[in-house]
Amino acid sequence: VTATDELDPTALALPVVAVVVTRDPGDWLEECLASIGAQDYPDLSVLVIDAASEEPVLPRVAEVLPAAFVRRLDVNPGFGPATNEVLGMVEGAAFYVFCHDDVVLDPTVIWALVEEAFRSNAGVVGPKLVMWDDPSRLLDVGMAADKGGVLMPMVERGELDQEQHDSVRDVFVVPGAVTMVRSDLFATLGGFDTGIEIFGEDLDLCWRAQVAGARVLVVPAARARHREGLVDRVGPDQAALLRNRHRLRTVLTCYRTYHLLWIIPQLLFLSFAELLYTVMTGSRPHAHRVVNAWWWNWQHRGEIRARRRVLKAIRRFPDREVRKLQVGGSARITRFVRGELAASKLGEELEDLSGELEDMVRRRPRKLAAVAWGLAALLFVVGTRSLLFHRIPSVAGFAPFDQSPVDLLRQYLSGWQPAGLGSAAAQPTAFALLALGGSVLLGHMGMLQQVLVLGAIPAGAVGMWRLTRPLDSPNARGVGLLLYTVVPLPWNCVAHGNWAGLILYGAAPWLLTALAEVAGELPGDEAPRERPFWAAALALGLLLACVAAFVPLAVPLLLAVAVGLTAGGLIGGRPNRLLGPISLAAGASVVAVVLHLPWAVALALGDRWSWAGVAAGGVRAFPASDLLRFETGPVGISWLGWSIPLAASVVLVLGRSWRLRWGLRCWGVALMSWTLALLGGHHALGLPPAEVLLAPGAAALALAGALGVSAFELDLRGFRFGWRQVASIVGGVAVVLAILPIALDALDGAWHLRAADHAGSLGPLAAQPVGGARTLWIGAPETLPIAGFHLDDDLDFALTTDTFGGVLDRWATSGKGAIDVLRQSILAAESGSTDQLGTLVAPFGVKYIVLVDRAAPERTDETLIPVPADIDDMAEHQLDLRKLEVEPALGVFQNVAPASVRTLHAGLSPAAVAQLDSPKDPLAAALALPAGSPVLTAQAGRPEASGRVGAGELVVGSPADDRWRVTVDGKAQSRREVLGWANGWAVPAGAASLTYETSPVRLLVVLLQVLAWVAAVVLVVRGWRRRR
Amino acid sequence: LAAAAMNRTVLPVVVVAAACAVLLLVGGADGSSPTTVPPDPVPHADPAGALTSSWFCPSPQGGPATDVAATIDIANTTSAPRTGTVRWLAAATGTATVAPFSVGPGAVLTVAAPPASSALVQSTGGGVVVEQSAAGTTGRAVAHCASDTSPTWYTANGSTLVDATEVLSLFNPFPSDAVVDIEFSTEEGREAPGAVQGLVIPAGRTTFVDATATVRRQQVTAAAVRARTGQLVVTRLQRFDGSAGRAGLSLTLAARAAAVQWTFPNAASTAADVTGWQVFNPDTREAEVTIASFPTSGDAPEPIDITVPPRSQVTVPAARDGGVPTGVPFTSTVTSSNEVPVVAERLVDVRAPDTHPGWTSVLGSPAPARRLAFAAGDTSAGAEQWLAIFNPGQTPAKVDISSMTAAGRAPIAALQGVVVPPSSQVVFRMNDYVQAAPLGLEIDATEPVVVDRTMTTIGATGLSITAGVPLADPG
Repeated sequence: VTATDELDPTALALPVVAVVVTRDPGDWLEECLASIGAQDYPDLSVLVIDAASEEPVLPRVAEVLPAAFVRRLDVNPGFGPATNEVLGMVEGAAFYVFCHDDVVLDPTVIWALVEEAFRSNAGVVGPKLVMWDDPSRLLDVGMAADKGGVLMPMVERGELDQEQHDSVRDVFVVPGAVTMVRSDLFATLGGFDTGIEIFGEDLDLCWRAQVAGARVLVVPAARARHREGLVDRVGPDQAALLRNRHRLRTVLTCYRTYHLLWIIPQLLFLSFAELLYTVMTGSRPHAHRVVNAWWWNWQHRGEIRARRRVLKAIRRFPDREVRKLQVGGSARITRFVRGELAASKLGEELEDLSGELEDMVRRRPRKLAAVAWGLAALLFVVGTRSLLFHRIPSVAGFAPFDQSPVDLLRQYLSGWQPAGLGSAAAQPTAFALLALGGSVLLGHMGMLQQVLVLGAIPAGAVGMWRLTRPLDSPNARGVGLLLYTVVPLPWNCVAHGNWAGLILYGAAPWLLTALAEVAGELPGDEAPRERPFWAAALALGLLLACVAAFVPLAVPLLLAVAVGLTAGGLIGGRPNRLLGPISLAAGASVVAVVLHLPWAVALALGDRWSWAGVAAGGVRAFPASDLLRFETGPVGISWLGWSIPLAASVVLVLGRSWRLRWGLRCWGVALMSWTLALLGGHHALGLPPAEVLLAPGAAALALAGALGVSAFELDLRGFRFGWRQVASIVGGVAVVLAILPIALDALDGAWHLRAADHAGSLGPLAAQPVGGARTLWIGAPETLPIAGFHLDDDLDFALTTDTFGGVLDRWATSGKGAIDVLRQSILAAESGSTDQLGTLVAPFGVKYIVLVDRAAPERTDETLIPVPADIDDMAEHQLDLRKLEVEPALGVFQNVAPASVRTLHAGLSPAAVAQLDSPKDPLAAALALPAGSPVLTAQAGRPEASGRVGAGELVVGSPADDRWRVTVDGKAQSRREVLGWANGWAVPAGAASLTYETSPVRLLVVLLQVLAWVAAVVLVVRGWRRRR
Repeated sequence: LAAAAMNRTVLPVVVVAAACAVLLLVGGADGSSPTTVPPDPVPHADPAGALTSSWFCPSPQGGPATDVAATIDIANTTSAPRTGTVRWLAAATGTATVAPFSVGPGAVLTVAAPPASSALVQSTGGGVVVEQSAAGTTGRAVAHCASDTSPTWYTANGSTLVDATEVLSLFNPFPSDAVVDIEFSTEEGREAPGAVQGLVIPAGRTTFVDATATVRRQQVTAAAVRARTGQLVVTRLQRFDGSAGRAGLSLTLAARAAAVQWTFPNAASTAADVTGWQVFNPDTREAEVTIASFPTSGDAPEPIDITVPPRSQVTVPAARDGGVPTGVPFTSTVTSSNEVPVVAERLVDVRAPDTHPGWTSVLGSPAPARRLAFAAGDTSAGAEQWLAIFNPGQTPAKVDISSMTAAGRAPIAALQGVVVPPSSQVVFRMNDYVQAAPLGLEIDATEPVVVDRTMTTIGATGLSITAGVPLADPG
């Protein structure tokens, strides 16, 4: 070649093969082929692959491009696999140009692409795509992608092409309509992914090409029109489904393993959020797409693994380099935000959205309810999966059910209540109910615990569904159910071991249902209202009695709820049956109290503290903002927590007629709950923990949310477009947002309740028999494993038999008498009045003193509520307590003074005996009492014990009661009160036994109580059948 | 009508919103946090109504000081008899020997200590004050027993020079072992000898730390004893053999905690005195300290301002910056002006030819009280005792002083209704009013006062200064 020679471009042109894949093409095929035939590129061959068209395309191709090769396939494998035919058919080509059959290329496209591929050393290049009908409008000029493979166009679709994007640039993907690939690269990559039929093959090819070290460029100088007929042929839903699947397949294929470990959780989260959104917007196909993508790829995991291996062999670029080519963040979210909430058209879009929402709730009334149930079930199962089939840790109020039904029944019949120091008070009815429940479950007490603890949550959900029945709107009921499910309250009760709170959560909607029926005005069931007052009171009373067996405070709380309901009704106007709810609540309370006789009397006379119920946890002062969001523990996200009251307030702005009046009633109940919880936090009125008081409020607000939907359905159309439409949308969004924090916390699997408990920590101590001794627990009420007695505003003390105690210890007995002496002993030490607490509590049989800082061991991250420094300091200063290092969350002290519930004091002087019998001060007497030795260590039942004794003074550290019997060698000994609170006998040496003789009156009372319950159940069932 | 309809709709909403707002306003987060009462740095008597009262007397007979004889004095300041036990716990083995005791109302009882045994004195009821004495060839020293245990103890003074013997007695009266770290602050900086790090004080035993052997040849050794686990009681025995001019025996209960102010009444200051203050800052912050003196006659000198670096001690001679004229009794206060608590001791070194030679270093009183008492005292032949009462308030205090002897309480007729002017001190030579041994004293004042007792031995070495033990106000 000389300087004067002109270069012949045809001589330099490398062979290029254009591959057109077609199937049942329309009349655009000829135009497409003609445009390829019109290319000015000198060495261009054309291969048309007929993917099993019903009518062979050969004649049509021959007419336009006689020189083209046509290969007909018997079946349609999809665009990518069909294209791969080129690998076996063509040799010697430098580039392949893969075309859809609905593109028309400008005459210079191939030249431009080849030229740029050479110039930029690119592996994959593509042209600018413009609209088929209007070439002045842009479709794509290459595309970017995020880490999840979501494509992000580089131009606005339909944007006027003013050559503003006409510069060659690196892109992540060139659209598959026209793609030129270097042939050696294509062979190295193994062609298109045969697992991707259509949609997504371009992303996969370009991504893998970049992993293999090739550049991907868009060459705007090359222009092609694209008809986008493929979507029409498969339908938009199917197209989106395939895109989702294939995008995920590409992601799972192209990232290396360790990068996937980071990416997959993010994608799962986004998918979950998308799922929630689509569920709430009622887009079933969209939801299906999201789920299907994961499911399909799971089914094809073997193929993906194989492709990953292939890609690994040719990988030249690490993921971090590929990631640099991607856009940051999430293209999906960006697109959503950009597209859905464009500020410039906010009003219009909100109106559209409102319309869509209205359309959705009108057209698909049952769908939302089904989704709500599905979501509620999903949250429950996923969130409690670690608890459902495992032992529930004995944290705070979650008592270990360590007694068989027979033992519980025996205890129920006994005249001696063992909790605390024990008392002759009436037995809690709960023992009988637990025995009954245990019998029904054939003695599987662990299962009974699961049912009674975790079962409260589904019981609450079903109750809410029942409560919203009169609204006669599946949408409203669905929203009510959803709101009640996503209230953080029950989940925080699980987190903190607050059984009482859970029970109230489960019962609150049922209690409200009964009150709502009597209040009237709800439209759905006017007919069934006609039942006598006594029947309604009896039914509600029976339910209330069941709840009060575990949470006695439910009785006064129901009255408070009725008052709140009535007050709310008053705000809304003059309700028809103003005092109906209060009357019913009062009647039901009477029934409940009667059913709990004689325990109710014992309770009323006992420590008000015990009203809170089964180790209900302590009273902590929450700020009102936490109470209004029902966030009393680790579950929940502060600002999202406002979603629930926000959703519940929609009825107040949209509602008319009965909806508004009932909305106000609900808010009345909620305000009552919040007020009580606020007062309780400041130790007013001896109120129980906030969780117990908030449950009715949560149910009422969920009902208000449901009423908001009813108002949306019935009242919104009566308003012109304005702020009410905006409010409805805000309410809808609030419902969706309310789900998020609970959904996130559900991933924990146990709502932050850890498997470890103090029973495990104290295992080594429990292994050492303490022979009828007790453990004294001191701590904030919510940290104690059992029901405690009040020590001061923030502190309780409790007693367990042996080391940890069981379900029988969960019902606090009287906090007076001997317990008072014990309380004074602790306070004396706390005030510095003595440093011999061990000696003081030895007659109570206290072998260990445990100061509790957390409801569970430190490693569980259970909330730290440290024992006050003065109590800690007090224990450290006691000269007769030895500190044991057991667990950081516990300060365990062993009493070095001999301690046993049954102690023999031998050789006491007459003066000492006199002081034992008639002490001026029980505390001083305890300090002066010479050390004794434990006796009667063989324990047959809980109060009963036997063993050999020497001669001396036998002191039994249980509250004085004349039904205690001691026999020595079969001979009854004379009992007397000693130390001002305990039982004493002057015993000779011999074989002794200690028993408690239950009064026959007790058995008679039990019989009457059983008859009352049976009668109540029979009457309620009959009434229910009659109504049915 | 439309307005009325609007009102019917809006009003309930406003009511609900207002109720929520009220809840949010009144139910804000409770920002209050429990206040922690700092421990009392010095002993105090439990109220008479207390169930029990315990006093802890670490044995002074350990290390190189086994030749001293020890006794404890138990004073019953109440009007009811007190019974109890003295549990002698052998320092080396923890073996307990229990001796019951009974003290009549207003009476004092002296109990001799078995060799190398610490005492745990437990009485029924409060109002009991216990002191212990150590006597050896270099004199006699009296110190408080401790009314409380603590995980931290501090001394601001001590010396390990060639003429000195310094022993720390670490008494653990509990059934659990204690593990302690001891750090000394000297004029050369901080020292934490490995031998006294992680030092285990077994349950019921007493460990003697010979500071003279641990921190050699230091003019001043302030000590900080910090327990990793457990609690204990610490005293310091300091002895000078006279080879370098100073001679004497001093027994001092360490301070349980630092305080912002310490007050030192003083009975006498002679020409031979070497007096001054040792200020120890156990805190991690720098302490700004002012030392003010109030002489019984003449003008008060300018206060002395010093800076005590964190975990360091500073020695301030009384003669610095002009100081107080020699021979003039004076009260002094050591005050941390930036509220960083410190421990302060006052050194009194009286040398021959003074007729009352001796060496002592004593903690001041961190707070005045209306009722105070001393259990040990001696105004018998050969012993001399002074009482200095300082009224730090702005109101004159009327003071009644009663003696407590083995026979019981007796008001000292000449010392009834003594008026102590504001910001002034009065000094009494107790031998002039009562002659007894043991001699306890009870001081009742109408205003809070600070009282120091100085004991000397006539014609021999021996100087001991002790602050009065605060009693709970009656009722």
